[in-house]
Amino acid sequence: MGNIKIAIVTADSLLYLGIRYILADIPAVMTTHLRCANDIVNDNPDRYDVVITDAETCVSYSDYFLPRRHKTVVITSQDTGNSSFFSVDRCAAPSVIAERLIDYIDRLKDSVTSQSELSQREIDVLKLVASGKINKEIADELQISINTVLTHRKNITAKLGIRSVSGLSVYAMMNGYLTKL
Amino acid sequence: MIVNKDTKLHDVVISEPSITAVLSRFDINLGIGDKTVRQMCDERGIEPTFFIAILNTYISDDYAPADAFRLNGESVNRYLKRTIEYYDKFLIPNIEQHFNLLIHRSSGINSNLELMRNFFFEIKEELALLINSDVAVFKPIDTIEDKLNDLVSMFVIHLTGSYNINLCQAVLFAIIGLRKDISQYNRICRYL
Repeated sequence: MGNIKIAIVTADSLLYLGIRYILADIPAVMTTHLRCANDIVNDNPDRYDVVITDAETCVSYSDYFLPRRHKTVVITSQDTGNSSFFSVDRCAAPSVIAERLIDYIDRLKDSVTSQSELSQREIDVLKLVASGKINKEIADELQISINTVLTHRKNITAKLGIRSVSGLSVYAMMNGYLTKL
Repeated sequence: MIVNKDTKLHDVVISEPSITAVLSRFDINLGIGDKTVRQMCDERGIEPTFFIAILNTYISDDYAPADAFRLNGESVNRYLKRTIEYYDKFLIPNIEQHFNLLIHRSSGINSNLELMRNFFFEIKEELALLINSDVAVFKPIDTIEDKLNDLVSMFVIHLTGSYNINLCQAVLFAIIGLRKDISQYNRICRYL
């Protein structure tokens, strides 16, 4: 797939700069800053793969965001556990915010690759599983959460029809991802 | 089909030919004639409720044997022991023999097949540990079933390169046969 297009829709410049800083380290991501949601609502509203916005903007433009909740990330300063949006707590530590955003984008990347083809991230996980790493080690090495590792492993098994670690190792060798066990 | 005491045994075999492997564990071989299940059990001294439960469990994934296995613990243990002996003496050597021939006959070098055979050897070793462990309590062998599923996927989904088609199918069918048998073995263990 090509670059993931992300719009950061907020009038809060500090928030925008923080998010842009975090996303700068993620490959194949293109960000655009929009200070006002009118720019996206009135002109080609689905041109972005993901829209990151603050809670106030989300509420003010709920007619736009609600039908697009699957591709919206809301940066909020209070617990929105019941919200149907994917939310990130802006009061959390920067590393936590970064991890949550990276997880979200990784999953998005995976969801848009072919249903049977492994995404680059899944191949990264497969290589580490095949070389005998446990989930915690994989999470540390790829700087993702253990839950994301588990999600990748579940997707790998669903795509390949292979569940066991030794079976995955054989697959990795068959496809040149691993040269020896 | 659901088997009962009045079912003709040959109808069961014609409907589900792979059940001959199960019958052999009761020393019933081909050429079974026109006998019903009840007649065959009377002749061989087999407990019919247990025998019918084994056949139905093998034939239908939806069949629930109620207490037939729990009430016939000794018969079940004997059956399961003979089952893994059958894997050791017949199914595993059969797969190995065909796998060796497949690699030998496949024109050119297909390193994928060798990797898959090594994976099969790993399954074989795991099964050998079970066979040699003098099992007192039979438990499901889920990891072996998972690995057989993986091996089937490798053949069906991921196989590349040149190979002898007939032998490849023979290996695959033999693996699928073992997988089905182990799957039913595991189901029986879960009912104990």
